[in-house]
Amino acid sequence: MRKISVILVAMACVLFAGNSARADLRDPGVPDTGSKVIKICVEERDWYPFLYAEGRQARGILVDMAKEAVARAGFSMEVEPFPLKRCIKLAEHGRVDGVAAIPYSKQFARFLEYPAGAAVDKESPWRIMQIDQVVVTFSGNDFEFDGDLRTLPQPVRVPFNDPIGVTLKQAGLETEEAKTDRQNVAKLIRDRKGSVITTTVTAETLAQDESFRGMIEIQAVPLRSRSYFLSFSWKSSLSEFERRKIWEELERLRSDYVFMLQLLAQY
Amino acid sequence: MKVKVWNRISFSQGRNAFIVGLILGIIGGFIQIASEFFRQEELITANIRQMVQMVQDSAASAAYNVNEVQAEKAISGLANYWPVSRVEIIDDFGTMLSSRGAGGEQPGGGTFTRLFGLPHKDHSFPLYYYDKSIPVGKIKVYLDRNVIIGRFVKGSTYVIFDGIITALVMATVLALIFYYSLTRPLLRVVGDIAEVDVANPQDFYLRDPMFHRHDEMGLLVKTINRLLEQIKLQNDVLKDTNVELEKRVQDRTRALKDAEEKLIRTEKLAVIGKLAGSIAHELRTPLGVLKNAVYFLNMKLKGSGDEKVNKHLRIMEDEIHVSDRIISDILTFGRVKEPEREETDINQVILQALSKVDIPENIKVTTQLDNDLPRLHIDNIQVEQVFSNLLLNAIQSMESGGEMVIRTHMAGGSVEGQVIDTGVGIPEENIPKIFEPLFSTKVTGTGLGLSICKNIVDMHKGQIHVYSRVGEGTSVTVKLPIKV
Repeated sequence: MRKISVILVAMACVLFAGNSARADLRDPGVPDTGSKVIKICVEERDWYPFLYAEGRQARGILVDMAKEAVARAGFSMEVEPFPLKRCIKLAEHGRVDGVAAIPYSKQFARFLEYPAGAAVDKESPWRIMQIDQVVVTFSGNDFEFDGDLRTLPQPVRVPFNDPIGVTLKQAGLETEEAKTDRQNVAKLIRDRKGSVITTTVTAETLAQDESFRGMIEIQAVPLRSRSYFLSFSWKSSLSEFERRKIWEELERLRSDYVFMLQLLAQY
Repeated sequence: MKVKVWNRISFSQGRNAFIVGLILGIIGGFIQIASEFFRQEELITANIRQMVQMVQDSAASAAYNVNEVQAEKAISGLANYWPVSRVEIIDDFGTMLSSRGAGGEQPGGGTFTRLFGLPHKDHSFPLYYYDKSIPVGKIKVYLDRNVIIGRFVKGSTYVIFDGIITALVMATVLALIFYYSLTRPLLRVVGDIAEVDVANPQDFYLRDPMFHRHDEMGLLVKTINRLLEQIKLQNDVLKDTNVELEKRVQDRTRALKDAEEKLIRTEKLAVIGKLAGSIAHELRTPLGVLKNAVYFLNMKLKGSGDEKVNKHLRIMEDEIHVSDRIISDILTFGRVKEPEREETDINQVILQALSKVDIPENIKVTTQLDNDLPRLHIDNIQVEQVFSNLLLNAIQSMESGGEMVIRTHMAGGSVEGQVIDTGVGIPEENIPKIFEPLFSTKVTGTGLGLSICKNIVDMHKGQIHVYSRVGEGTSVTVKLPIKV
């Protein structure tokens, strides 16, 4: 029951964070200009159903939402998955117009423009989605997370290039990085020590996996909840107005729970 | 004659061969090292290519993920490869993800690379991701050519030593070849030449060069021998010329001496002639008075019977006669004139002279006159005086008695008249001087008698010879030509 309740909370965060309602994926009132192509980079990670890749094709709810928002703003969008750091570099050099599904970071903010309040808002109105990060430990462990980072079992395994890794290192914790959360959990079970930081949805999914069932425990107190944005390169040719318009479209989409339910139903 | 070892051609040629060998060895060594270096570098490049292929996926992943740690791991093995000085992974944004060096010389640096003028060299390998669909950067590998050459040079040290030893051995062999083929034969030739007395080469020739008969050494020996032959011929000519010259000098000297003697005698004769003229003039008159006075006394006292007075008168008469004769000699000597020749029987002339000479009783006179002698064209008065002088000399040399032989006979185209006595004889050293004027061994002699004889005989184109031995006697021969 506890696990189910965690999933529901997560879903609620993602799907019902907004209050606008939309029946269709595409607003018929928005002109389909298709004249300007926006290149967007997304992190290449297995984060189904939110974000994942099929070959070189980026898929997932976040990609669809971004595409829809951009389309409603009057542009078309090309999405390509890359590692997060490469996405940042591409944006830094102006090779892409923006990066989708990226949390705020001071480091990233040097090359990317975030919506107003991204640095301070717990739940930004301009976000694509809000994701909780939880602590996963080995099931035989008596550890209970109380919100204090310093008490986390070490090594703390985090996704590759996730900004949380920097935070944990700054707190003096030993960290390990892996490309996928599955790899981190596998290492946890192999070593039977330490902890894994992942999203709530991923944690629930892995807990149901045959390989890990009964071997991991998801801590009830979330590590933190973060807003994920569609941020734009400072070197992008998009004007300030066009960027704001896209963010506003996102805000509208996220508030359109009908659209969100239809979107979720596809996965 | 010795040549110091280091001055010998063989040594200098050996040294030159060593230097040339060394230079060629160094050049060859450099070429070998260079070619081997480039071959090694190609192998190294191939190795690096293989190693890069092994890490290429990992490096591409690191570049794709912009993961410095992964990049560092990917190239760690490659960076430890000894010829590699530095390995870099540079992403497609131009950012260097990793740069690892093996601690060697930095690109472009290094002693050997500067020495050989080798430019910096690197290899760049592009990195792709997703089945080479996405260019994500490159791996750049810098070769440490300094280390490569350094290792190769160290490894080639034995080659260099080998080259030096080979050059030394070759130089020694060449020096020995030169020594036996050039220096030794040359030294032998020089030694032979040193033994040649150029002033008197005799029959000395350089030895046969044996194994070098047909080469330059043989030619040299032949040429020198030909030269020696010419020197020998020239020496012979010179010797003959010297002999001839010496003979000429002797003849000339003798002639000169004769002329000098003649001159001296002429001068003496001139002085004597002049003196004789005045003496004769001054003494003949008082002597004539004395002679008349003695004649008068003889007439007056001849019948007195005083023997003592008569004896002294005879002594006075004899001495006046002697003095008169001396004056006559002097006058004759001073007034020798050209002979007035007429056909004369020499025997008669000699007998005439003999009749005028007072011969002591203790002297036995023997005449052996050839009655078949031809008549001679002579001045009978002068020739009579010659024999008179000779007879007087003979008589005077035999004070204690002896034998006197007067002989005439034919001798070739001449007639010889000899006066032989058994007197005291003439010392050998005085014989050459007896014809000189004023030379006399006698106390009362004027030293003019034989001189007058010689003058007269010379004017008759004749000869006068004296043979004498002390204690045995003297033989004087007057040789007068039949035809003048």
